[in-house]
Amino acid sequence: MASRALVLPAAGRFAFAVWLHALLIAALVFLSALAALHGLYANAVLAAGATLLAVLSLARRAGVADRALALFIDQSAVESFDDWGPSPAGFGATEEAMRRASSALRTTRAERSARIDYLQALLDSVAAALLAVEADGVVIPTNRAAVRLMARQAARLAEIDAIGAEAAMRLLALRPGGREIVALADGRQMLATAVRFAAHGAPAERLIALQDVAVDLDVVELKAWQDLARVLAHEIMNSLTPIASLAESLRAGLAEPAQSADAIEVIARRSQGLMSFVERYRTATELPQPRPETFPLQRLVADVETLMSADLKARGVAFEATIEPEDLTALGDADLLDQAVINLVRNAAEACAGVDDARVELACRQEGDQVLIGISDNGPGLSEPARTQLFVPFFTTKVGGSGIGLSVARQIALAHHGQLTASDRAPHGAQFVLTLPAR
Amino acid sequence: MQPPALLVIDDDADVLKAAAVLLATGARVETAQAPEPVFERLADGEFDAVLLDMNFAPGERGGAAGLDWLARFSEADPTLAIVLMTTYGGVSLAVEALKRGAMDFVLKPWRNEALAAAMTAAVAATRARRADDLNLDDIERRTIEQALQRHKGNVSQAAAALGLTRPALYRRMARHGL
Repeated sequence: MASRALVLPAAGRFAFAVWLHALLIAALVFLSALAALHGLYANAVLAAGATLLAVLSLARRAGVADRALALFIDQSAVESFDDWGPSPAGFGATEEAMRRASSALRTTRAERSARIDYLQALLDSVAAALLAVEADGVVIPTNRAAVRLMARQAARLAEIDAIGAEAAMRLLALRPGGREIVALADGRQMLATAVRFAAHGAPAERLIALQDVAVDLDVVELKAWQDLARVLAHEIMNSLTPIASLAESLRAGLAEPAQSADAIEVIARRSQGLMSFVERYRTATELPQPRPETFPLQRLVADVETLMSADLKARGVAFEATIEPEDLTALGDADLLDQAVINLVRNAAEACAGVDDARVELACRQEGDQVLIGISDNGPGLSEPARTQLFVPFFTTKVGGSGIGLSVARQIALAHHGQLTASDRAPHGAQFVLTLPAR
Repeated sequence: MQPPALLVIDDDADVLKAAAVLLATGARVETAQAPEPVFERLADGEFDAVLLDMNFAPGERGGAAGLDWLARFSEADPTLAIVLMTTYGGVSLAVEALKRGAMDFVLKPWRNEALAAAMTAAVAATRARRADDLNLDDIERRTIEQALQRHKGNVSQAAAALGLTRPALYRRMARHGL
């Protein structure tokens, strides 16, 4: 190679060679012209041939430089600088700059790959399986739990044995931001959440997280059953106490004639009470499946006002409803939601009836893709035993209360993939918020 | 002996009726739907036993209210035997109640026989404690004090009133430290 023949200081080798070639070519052209002028045509041809050779040499040298530059750029593009040796082109200052640039890029790349390793380790430490689903339905596991769930290569969610076609359908139907318990084909209960994200310039993908909740769910379910069983036992035993004792007393002839009639009346009444209690139990456990459709909140407010105004007036409770914006709509079963909101308004009215300036407010507003229906009162707020048991069926703090209203309202909210939460309100009173999807 | 006076406290009026019908045989039964209104009368020793529910508000289940009232009742009249009743039959709650001085612990719904027996035992316990309070020595001492007071410290007149000789009264006064 020409560069090996020319041993020059590294700095400026390429520039020097170009300069030398130019000088040589200029000299040869001059000689050739001089020879031709003096009629020495053979010498002129010789000089012209030498000129051609010098031009070719310059071209070759430029070609080497071109290739070296091309190599550097290619390597920059694929971020591989490992075999970046001394340049054959002898670029001098340019070569130094290229070397500095490649070293800086190498450092950046090392830092970035350390960062990626760290993020991947973080993802792998997450117990939930994280699956990215591309716009065309191709699924990519993004962490170790996801790889484990997939077990073997699969292109689509439905092709993953552990998930199965049915669960895959429900997962893909999950709205961004939505969460749902999904039973997988392998029998596991998973809390599935979905988010939509788009890498720079790429079409939007979905990230689906699957968290095994079987254990947690069992505990929650058990707790719910224990609470329910305790409330049921209490209700039944309380009614049975006078029934059993009075019946026994009557049989033993302990009751005087006047008392007997009274005793029989009590037995009949409490037995009836037990029967209607079981009826209520049936209502509470057989909630119809909601038939969701988009409906205006104005309809809900109008229904509640129509059905509750007499009751509110009788209790001396002021009522105010607001909808923001006025044409707000929600997705849900309007009849069931009427029932839920009526229960909540009645509960609020009962809570604040009797306080000064008793007042119930119904406020509907939109927040993101959710509709929030708030029912607040200025009563005494949530009492301590009530706070933790509000939604336990049949739990009640009211004499003659059924313990059904709030429990049913909560069930209706959950059946709509919504929520019902309760909190105290400053300075006093309670607030219930029913959350629904807007669309 | 006078028939025993029983007090039954429960927020359920029908439970009160049932208890009254059962316990009225051989006893005077008074009922109340809350402890507050009758609390004042306990110190007078009017009742021989109390049957007390452990929860007084719908939704209340802990039994804390019953234990609180048990403590207040015992303080007002330490001789009064108290039987607690509850629908929530936790062993720990029963142990706690007995440790705090309840005479007995009855589960609702009760068996008539069992409740009647518990209340009879409670009446007997109250009367025994009250009799213990007034043993013979106390009665003698109180009588001598009253006689001396009546006769303004005149020992001869007091002895005559008590039907004792003067030296006999002096001996007894010395024994009682008077």
